Amino acid sequence: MKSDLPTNQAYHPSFLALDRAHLAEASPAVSAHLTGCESCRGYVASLASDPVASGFVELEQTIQGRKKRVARWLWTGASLAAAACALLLVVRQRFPDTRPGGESYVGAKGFRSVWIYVKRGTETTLWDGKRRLLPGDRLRLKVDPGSYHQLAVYSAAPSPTLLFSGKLTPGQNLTLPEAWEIDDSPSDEQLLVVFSDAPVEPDWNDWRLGRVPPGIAVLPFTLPKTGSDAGSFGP
Amino acid sequence: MPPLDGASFEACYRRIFPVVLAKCRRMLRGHADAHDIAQEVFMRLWKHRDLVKDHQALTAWLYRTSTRLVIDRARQRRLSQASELSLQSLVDEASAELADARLASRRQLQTLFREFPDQELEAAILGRFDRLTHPEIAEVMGVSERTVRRLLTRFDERVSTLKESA
Repeated sequence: MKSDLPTNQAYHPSFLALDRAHLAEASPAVSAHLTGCESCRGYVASLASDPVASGFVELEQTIQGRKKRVARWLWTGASLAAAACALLLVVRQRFPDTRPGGESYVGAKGFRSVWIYVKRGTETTLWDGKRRLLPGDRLRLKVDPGSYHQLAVYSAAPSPTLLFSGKLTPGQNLTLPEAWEIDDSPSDEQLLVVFSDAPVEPDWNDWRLGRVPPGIAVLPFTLPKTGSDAGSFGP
Repeated sequence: MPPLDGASFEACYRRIFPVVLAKCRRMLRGHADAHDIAQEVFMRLWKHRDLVKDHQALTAWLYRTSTRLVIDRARQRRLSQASELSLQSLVDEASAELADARLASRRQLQTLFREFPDQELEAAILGRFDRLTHPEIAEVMGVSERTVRRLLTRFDERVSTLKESA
């Protein structure tokens, strides 16, 4: 099947040139060609005739329809978002989050982990590893013991002080019963969380050098205070 | 002054839509396909009418956009058989000595649209359906004339290979 192209293409202006002649002004060469070429003149004349009115109405309706669809989608999206928020509110009220702060956490199951919650005023949030603490903030820990049976928490500065010691049930998270208040000393708060299978006597000299015996995991946390240098986050 | 500055939708439609529709009908014999694509092009133009600087840019944009929409539709196999047949004539024009070696099946046409680079298809359509000269194709596509020559040569070579392998 042949296309509708004229056979003597070489002597006709392109359709682009003819369209431009219709929309703006024809170049002298195109004008001269149009004078002598009935075919091209007919093409340009066909562009000047009004397109069918039904097409205009149809297109306008299509554009209006698209606008309405967009608006409808926006409303639908907003409604769904509102419904999701309402549902979340209901679910949270029916099943209150037992974790202070309620932030989500994703970690490897069965691997020892520590969550540090910071309570400032009435607001409790999960510490993000960077947020600076203020005197008066209260810290509370939750741990995933992994396969360990014993937990000890020490405050490392100025010298290691035992804050908590207790048994763990492997596979069961434990929120420590005690919370600790940040004092107004200028140094960062340093915590050492020690997981083991049985109560151990810490050997700080060796542990600081990384010589931790098998069966013991020591997780150090440095929590920066406002006005001190930025802190670091333990493993 | 920008050509569409302050123009009403109706005035713009009456003036420009026939140009777009004529361009689409040259590429596609399926009336519904041509009309659909012309509408799509016009709606895009109307949406971005403030960006049109002059008539030259306007017509170049119309040609570029409608050609690319046709290529997209052909790739997505969303064209009627009549429209596909008109696109097959694009291939038949590619090489005079192989003019009678028509593509045997729609599958081969689909191979053409699936495997040929966009730019080659675009240059070929603009050249063969719209009679654009190399400088005009270069202007519409925003490439050099040398690139246009290279694209069309490659297109012809690919078409020959496709026909020989049929």
